[in-house]
Amino acid sequence: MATLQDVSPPNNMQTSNFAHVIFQNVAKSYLPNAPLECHYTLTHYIHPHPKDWVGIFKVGWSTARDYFTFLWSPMPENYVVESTYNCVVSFQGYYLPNDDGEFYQFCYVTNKGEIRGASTPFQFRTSSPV
Amino acid sequence: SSGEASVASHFALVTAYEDIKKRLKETEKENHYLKRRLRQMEEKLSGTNEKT
Repeated sequence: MATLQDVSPPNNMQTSNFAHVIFQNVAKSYLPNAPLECHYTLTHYIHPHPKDWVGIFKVGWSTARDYFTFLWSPMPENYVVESTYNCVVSFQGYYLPNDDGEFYQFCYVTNKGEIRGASTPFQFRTSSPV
Repeated sequence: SSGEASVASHFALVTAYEDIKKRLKETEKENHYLKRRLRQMEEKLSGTNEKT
């Protein structure tokens, strides 16, 4: 089993399966119990499906079933194959983790359970540092 | 496949790890700066007290 030190993110980020969806402007922390807007870009590498979803996962998850909460990813209107789309999902405050000291990340999961994008990590904090 | 799932979970963990490592470095730098600022201000304050 490889350790973290052995593996760094691939240089060919664009062609890696895991960077087909890019999460935009992810903050270092969010307020618990406040609505959270998650912005992401579907690159032309991905063909979205109505049963694709965006989950909030605790960092260190091992399968797509380990999500904390999720929302269906809306299909882009007038979808054209191999185009790039910016999407937003809004998580309701009461579905979000509390200020528990854990790190979370967004992941984009296809209807087949494949991970196509993972965000940088964030925490839920009642008083966010400047 | 479970192989791909485990690669995905590893990739996501590495993404998070690299970012947290960067943030730790920034936080340590700020911590160092704040300690130095505090020491400077304490020295200034004790200097003022000696004069009065």
